[in-house]
Amino acid sequence: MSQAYYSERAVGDSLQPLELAVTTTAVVAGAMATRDYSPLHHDYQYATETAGHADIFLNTIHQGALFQRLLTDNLGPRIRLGRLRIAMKRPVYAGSAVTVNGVLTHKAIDDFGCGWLHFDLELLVADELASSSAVSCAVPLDVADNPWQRRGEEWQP
Amino acid sequence: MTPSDASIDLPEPVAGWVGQLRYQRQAQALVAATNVCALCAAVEDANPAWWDSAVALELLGAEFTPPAMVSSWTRPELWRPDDHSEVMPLQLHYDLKAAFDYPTALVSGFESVFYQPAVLNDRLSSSQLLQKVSAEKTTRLGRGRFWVIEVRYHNQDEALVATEQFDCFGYRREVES
Repeated sequence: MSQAYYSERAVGDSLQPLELAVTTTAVVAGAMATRDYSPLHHDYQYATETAGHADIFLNTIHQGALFQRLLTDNLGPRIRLGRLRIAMKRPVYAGSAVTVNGVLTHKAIDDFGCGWLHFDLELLVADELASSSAVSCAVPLDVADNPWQRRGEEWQP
Repeated sequence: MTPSDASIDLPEPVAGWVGQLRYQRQAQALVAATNVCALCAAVEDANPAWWDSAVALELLGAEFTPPAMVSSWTRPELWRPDDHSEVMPLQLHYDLKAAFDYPTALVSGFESVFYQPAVLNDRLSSSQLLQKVSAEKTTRLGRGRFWVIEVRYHNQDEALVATEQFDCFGYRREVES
């Protein structure tokens, strides 16, 4: 996993998309990992017959983990998430093939010397938008910079 | 989402809830590596910060967790012998749905802001704040109110770990005459 630096990325750059098959086991595993015991994420009968869905579906934190993976796959482990907004349009059901992609919308260095990249991200199921996200993440300016070491006023998400 | 300003007349008990921190609760579980690895396995995330303690120590000086997992740590156990309360993770949302007698209430989106990372063995606490409630409005879903709830997460040292702001809409379908 290579590390990207602030100056290497330009507004308009696209991230290398992430493609993943969402299995029933993965939906349940994500829900249990995040301590989410809603039957919508593990009980097929409840999800379909009681709640009217097509199947069990990903919980919100699981979707956030997909967006987070897209960012670190593309930018490296030293990036630090500051702000994450997710708007859900439709459920991501078990059995879906998802594509997660994103584009850099703007970038800036704040008053404390922290480099910020802002992305619009999309989670697609069969080319239909399931969720959109706006993310701000801090990216190292150079090899000596590590956003995870920022404390107090040096961290302004 | 178009919540109105705070000057509208709200019925009690909702009016008294606006701006009040409620449901301040300490997590029953500690922040744990097993949950982090299980979630990363579910999304096939190979980021070494979540799998290799040496990388985490180099980055932060402690083994830490993906920021977007923050609400996981304060969810209640499915069952405990010493706690039979039925407080939901976003209980204020359900309180408002009941107070306005809306058959349906949904969360349309949320925004998380991440401050001090949660590290392994932290015990987080959460609290819920009703920021604002709109007047009744008619939308394509039905007639109802928008509301905004903020959940705040702190660690055991009272350091702010994250905030989550939820945009919600409670409503009833309108019957065409």
